Amino acid sequence: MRILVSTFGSGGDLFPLVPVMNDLVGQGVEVRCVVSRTLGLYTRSCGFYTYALGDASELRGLRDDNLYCTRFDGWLSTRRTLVNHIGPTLASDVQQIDGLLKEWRPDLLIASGYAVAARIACLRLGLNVMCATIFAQHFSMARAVRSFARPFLRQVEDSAGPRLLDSAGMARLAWGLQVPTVLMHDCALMGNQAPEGAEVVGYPYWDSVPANKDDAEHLQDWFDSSSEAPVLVTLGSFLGLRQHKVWHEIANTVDRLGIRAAFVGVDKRWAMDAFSDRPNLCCVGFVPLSPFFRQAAAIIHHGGLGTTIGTLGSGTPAVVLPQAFDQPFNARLVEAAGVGRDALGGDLPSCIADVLGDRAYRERSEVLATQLVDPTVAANRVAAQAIAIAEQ
Amino acid sequence: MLSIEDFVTRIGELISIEVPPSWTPYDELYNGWGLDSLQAFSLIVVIEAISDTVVPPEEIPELYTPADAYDYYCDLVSAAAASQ
Repeated sequence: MRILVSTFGSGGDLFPLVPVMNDLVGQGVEVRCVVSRTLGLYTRSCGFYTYALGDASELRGLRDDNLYCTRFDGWLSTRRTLVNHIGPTLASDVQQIDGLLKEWRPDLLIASGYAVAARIACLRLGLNVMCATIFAQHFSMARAVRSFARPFLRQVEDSAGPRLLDSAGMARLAWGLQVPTVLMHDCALMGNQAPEGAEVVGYPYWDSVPANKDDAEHLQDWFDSSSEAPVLVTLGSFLGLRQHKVWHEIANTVDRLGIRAAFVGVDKRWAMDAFSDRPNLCCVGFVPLSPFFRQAAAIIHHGGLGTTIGTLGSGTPAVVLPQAFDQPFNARLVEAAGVGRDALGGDLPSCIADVLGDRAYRERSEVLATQLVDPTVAANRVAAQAIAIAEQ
Repeated sequence: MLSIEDFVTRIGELISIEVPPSWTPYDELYNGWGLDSLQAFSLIVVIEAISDTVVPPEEIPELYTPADAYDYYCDLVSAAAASQ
């Protein structure tokens, strides 16, 4: 059996699919990936046969500061991603995937939310498609798609051809909500916020990102150098490299509170210069976070779903400082569950002080950690469903 | 195939770095030209894109100098030509 996996975006869009692919390979499925060139660096280092999509123009997105904002609850950044960064290359991406599918014909495509080009190419050829999304809030937006990101929908219609699907089907195609769609999120966190009709399978958390060993050792030594547990700060795999203003804000806040903080996923060269006079800070590049979550007094993070679930799974309370996309939504879930604070709605110093000062946050976090779907179970659920569809 | 001079100019534009006017093939990209983490992985991605590589090698290359980067580009272009 052959399964093609396609995703587009940042590490957060790819990482939950890695355990799914590993599960599929373990069951004897031949798996290949078609991803943006940037994400291909990860899939290749994990040993997956990878088709690199496009001309690396996605790098413009990583440098586009306008892309990262929480305006309209993060929807503006989603709209800008679709209209400015995915739409313009959609037709050529579809054409490229079309060529690949003729060479290596899969029994099924698993496509993430932003992998619209692969969905279009497979539908045009009549191949099976299964969507695996992390965006719970997109389920509601699919109904409003004609009034949101309209230029993007036109680009989807142009690439797919006008007669492929009706209007509602085209909206689901654009948002990655075709039937069947699995939502890789967790009901224990979402509570009554789970979208109607979504099959919520849990989140296949994955944290084995290839990283610099020296950074991980340096960070562990720094943790060990004091009996006082520090806060751990991360802003995600890609986003963190560019958010200099946010890192400064957090550095000033931890100074004011007189606490120690580990900055993970920061551009080290920049940070060593910017924070050279701050002995209470340790700055490292991206390292697997799981070993450090439990050692921290609290986690300050951006609200990407992977980091959110990783933090919750460790039973450590969080302060969520959303930057874009679905992050405001996830921040509200964390606050509603009583396992952290949403710093978008409050000021950062008092949010950190609350979480560090009130033991109840940690107690509730430890309870919630036991209620989350095990990541291997979540991955297996997605893989099992994929195999079942591919066998049809 | 691009000459090393044209290659360096193109790479400089694509990953937004200021190439030193008196660069040499054995300059250090990180400590010398000041590539940051994002530019470091962008460099690999951009080289693979300009060489039209659709299935890049599984192993991620380690590039420390402009010469390393140009060698990688030449290897990819040659591999693409051989596969046609």
